[in-house]
Amino acid sequence: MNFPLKSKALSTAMASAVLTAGLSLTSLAQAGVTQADIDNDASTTGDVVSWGMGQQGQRYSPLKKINKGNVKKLVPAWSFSFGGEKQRGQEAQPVVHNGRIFVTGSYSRLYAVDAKTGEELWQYDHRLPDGILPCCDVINRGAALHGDLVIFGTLDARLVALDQATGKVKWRSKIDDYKAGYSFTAAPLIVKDMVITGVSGGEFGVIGRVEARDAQTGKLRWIRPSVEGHMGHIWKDGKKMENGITGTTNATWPGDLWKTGGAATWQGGTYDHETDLIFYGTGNPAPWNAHMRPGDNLYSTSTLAIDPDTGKISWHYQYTPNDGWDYDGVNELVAYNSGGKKLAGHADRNGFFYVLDRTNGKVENAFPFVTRVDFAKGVDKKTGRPIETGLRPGDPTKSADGKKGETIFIAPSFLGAKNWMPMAYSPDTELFYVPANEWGMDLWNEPVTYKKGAAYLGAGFTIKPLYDDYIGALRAIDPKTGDIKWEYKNNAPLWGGVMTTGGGLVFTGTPEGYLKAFDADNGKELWKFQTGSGVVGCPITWEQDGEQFIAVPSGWGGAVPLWGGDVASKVKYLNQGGSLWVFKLTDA
Amino acid sequence: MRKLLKAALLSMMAAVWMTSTSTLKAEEERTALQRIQERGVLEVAVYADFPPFSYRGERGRIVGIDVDIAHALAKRLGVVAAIRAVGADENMEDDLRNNVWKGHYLGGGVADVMLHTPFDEAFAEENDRVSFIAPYYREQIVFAVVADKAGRGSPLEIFTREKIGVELDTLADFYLLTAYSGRIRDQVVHYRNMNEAVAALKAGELSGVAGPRSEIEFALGESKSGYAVGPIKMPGMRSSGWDLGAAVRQGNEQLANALDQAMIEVRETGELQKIFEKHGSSYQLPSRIVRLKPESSGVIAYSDDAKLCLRRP
Repeated sequence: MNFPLKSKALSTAMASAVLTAGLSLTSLAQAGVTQADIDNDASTTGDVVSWGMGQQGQRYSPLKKINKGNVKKLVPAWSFSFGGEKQRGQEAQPVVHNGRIFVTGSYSRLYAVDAKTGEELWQYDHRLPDGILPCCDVINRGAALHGDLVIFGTLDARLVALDQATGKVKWRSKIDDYKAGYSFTAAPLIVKDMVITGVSGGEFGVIGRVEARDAQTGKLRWIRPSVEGHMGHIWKDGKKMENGITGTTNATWPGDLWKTGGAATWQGGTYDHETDLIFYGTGNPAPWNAHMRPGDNLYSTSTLAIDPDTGKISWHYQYTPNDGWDYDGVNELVAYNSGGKKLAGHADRNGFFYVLDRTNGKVENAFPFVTRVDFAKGVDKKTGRPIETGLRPGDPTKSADGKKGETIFIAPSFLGAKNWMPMAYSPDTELFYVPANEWGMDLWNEPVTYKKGAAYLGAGFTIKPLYDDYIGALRAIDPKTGDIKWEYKNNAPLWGGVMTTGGGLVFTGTPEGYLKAFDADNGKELWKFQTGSGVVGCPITWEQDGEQFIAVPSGWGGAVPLWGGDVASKVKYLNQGGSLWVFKLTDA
Repeated sequence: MRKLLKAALLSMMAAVWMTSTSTLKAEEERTALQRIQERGVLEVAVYADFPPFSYRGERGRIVGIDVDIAHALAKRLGVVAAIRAVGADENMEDDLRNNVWKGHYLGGGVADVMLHTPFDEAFAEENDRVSFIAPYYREQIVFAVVADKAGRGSPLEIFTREKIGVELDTLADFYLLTAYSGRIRDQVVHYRNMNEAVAALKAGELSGVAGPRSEIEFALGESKSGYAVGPIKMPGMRSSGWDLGAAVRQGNEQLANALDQAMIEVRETGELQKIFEKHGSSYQLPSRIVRLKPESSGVIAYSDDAKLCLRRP
C-alpha cells in the first residue's frame, strides 16, 4: 500500500473534509441510538439496543403479545445463514434498531440484516492475523450501538466501530497485543456515551482491566486495573494522568506476584443507572497454584463496582478468596429492586447464588443453586466469606517425587455451576431464571508435564457429569429464600442465554438445537423449535409494525467441546452451524 | 493469497507426480518422507521469540540454535528447511496438537517436524499421536549468582534475604515460590523471559537468577565471568533437567528414521556442539540418545552412557 506522495496528500485532505462533515453530522448521529435510548432499553419494546436487553441485564421484556396462551403458534419468520466455511460457536446476543438487526458471528464477523425480511444489508469480516491462539473457541458475544455506530470487539483484541447503514469502518482501537495472548469476545457496554470493555484471554502474567473510551471516537477516557497495586489512569483534555492505585499494594498478594496477578475481565459488564455504577466481573488469579500466593489475591474472582465518571472502584465483592479451583468471578451482576432495597443477583461458577446490596456490595443472601458445592459449606453473611471445607488441590511442589499426585473430585467443575451464559430476572414473578450445569472435576497434580519444551509442574483435570440423565438445568430461583421453584433438566450442558417476558414466558436454547419456551410460573415446556445446530446464543424480543418477534443465533461450539473432558465426548455428535432464526406468531 | 498459491503449487506438483506414476494407489502409499523430498522442503516448527533457540535477529530474520539444527537436518535429507515460528500455547500437548498431529482449529495445517519437544518416556506414553525422536540436548535449571555472594552459607539460603529473578510460570519459579516453606517467596522477582531477568541481574538489581542453562548463558554473554553459574541442589525436586528432541506425527516411520539418522550425524560430526557454541551456550548431551518406540511400549534401546550411540534396529 505505498501511495505516491501526491495521492497521500490528497487522501489526507479528503480525510479532513470527511472529518469536518463528520463533526457537523454529530447532531444527526445523536438521532441514531442515543444514550437515553440505551438507558431506557429495558422498557422500550420497539428495539433492543444493549447487551442484557437493558443495561441492568435483566433480559426481561414487558411484551406480552406472545404469551402462554399462544406461544404454540410461534413459527419461523425467516432464517439467515452466516455463510462461509466458518462455523463453531455462535454465542451472540443480537441488537435491533431502526428495522435493522446487528448480529456478530464466530471469527469476528458482523452482519446487518433487514429485520423484516432477513435480507443481508452488509457484512463485515474482520481480517484476523496469523498466529492468534484464542483459548476458548473463536466466539463473539455481540455488538453495541451508539449514535450511528455499531461497535464490536475482535479475536485480535481490537475494537471496531462501523456505520450502521453502510458497514464502513468509522474507527478502530487496539485494546492490546494479540501476540501476547489478548483477545476480545464480550459485547461492549455503553455508559454515558462511553464504550466500556475489559480484556479476554491473555497468558499467564496478564492483568485484567476495565477501560472506557469515547464511543464516537474510540479515544481512551480511563483505565482501571483489576489487581491491587496497579495504577489507574484517566485522560483529561487529552492528557493521560495517574488516577490512583487499585487497592493497596501487597495487602493480599505476596512478593511481586500482584504484578502478574491475572483477574482477567473477559466477560461483559452491566450498568445500573440508579446507583450510577458499572459492575464488572474478574477472573481467577495467577499463577494457578494457590499455594504459591497465600492471601485473598484481590481483586480476582470478584465483582467490581466502578464509578463511570471517575474510573475508580466504589466497592468490590470477592466470591472465591485465594481461588484454587479456577472459579472465575466474571459472571454478570444483575440489578433489581425488592422490598424497597436496591439489590443485585449473581450466580457464580463456584455454585453459590449471591444477593448483594448494590449500593455497597454487602452480601444480603447466599445459597447454592446446584445440588453439590464441595469447596464451602456456605457463605458467612457477616464477613461475606465462604466457609471453606478444606477441599483444595494439593501443593504440586510437595509431590515432586515424580508420582501423580492424589486425585480429588470436586463439584462444580471449573466450567462452573453457571458459565458465561446470562440468566434472566422477571419483575413479574420476582424469580431469577438461571442456566445451571451439574458437573464436577477430577483434579490432580501432574509432575510429568511440559510447557514450551520445558519441564513444568502442572495440574490435570477431567470434567465429569454428576448425573446420568442430565447436566444442564434451567432453574427458577427465588432470591429471597433460595428456593428452586421449578427446574427443567437437559441432557447436554446448557450454554445459551435466557430471556423472560411479560407474556409469562422463559426462553432458552439447548445444544441439541432447540429454542424452547417455558411457563415462567411452573416451568412447563410450552413450545420448542429445532434450529438445525446447537443454540448457545442469547434470545431477544422486540415489536415491529404491531407484531412481536423473537430472534436467536444458532451454531454449536464454545468451551464445552474444547474443554469438556468426559462431557465433550457426550456432545461429540452435535453438528456445527451458523445462522440467525427469527420467529413470530403464525397468521393462520 | 499466499495460501492459495501454495495449494496451487502443491496440486501442480501432485499432478506432475501423478502422471509419472499414474496410479491413485501409489499416491496413497507415498510416505511423508517421499512427499518432503519431492517438494524439496522440510517444514520445521520452532517456538517464536525464544532466544537462543529461535528468535528474530537482524532484519527480522529468524535465527538461533533450533533454526540452525533445522537447516542441518534438512540438508541431510537433501532438502531445504522452511521455518515455521509458532506461538506457545498453554502446554506441550496443545503445541503438539497445533503443530504436529492435527493443526490448530483456526487452520494452517501442521509442520513436518517440531523441535524442542520433550524426550521423556512417561510423557511419550501419554501422547501417542506423535513419535518422539532425535534427542539432541539436555536442558538443566541452573543458578547464576553474583560471584562474591556465591558460596556464603548454603546456596539457596541466601535467597531468603537476597533478590532472585525467574521467568514467570516456570519450574524454577514454582520451586522458589514454595521452597524453604515459603521463606524465599518474597525475594522472587518475576520477568517475562530470562533475557529480562539477566538484564536486571547485570544492572545490579538482583543477586541471582534461576532458569534453563542455555537461556541464562546466552543472556549473560560476555559477562559470564562475574557470576557463578551452575546447578544448585533443590531439595524435594524430582529432577532439575530434561532431554529435548523432535516430534513427528505418529506413523511417519520413514521420516522419523531419517531424522533420527540425520541427528546422529549432526551430533557425531561435532556440528551440534558448534551450533550451541556459536549461540553462546555450552552443549550438554542428552541422557539418552536413541528414540522411544512409537508404539509406546517404551524404549527400544537405552543407555545411561550417553556417549555410547545405539542405533535403532
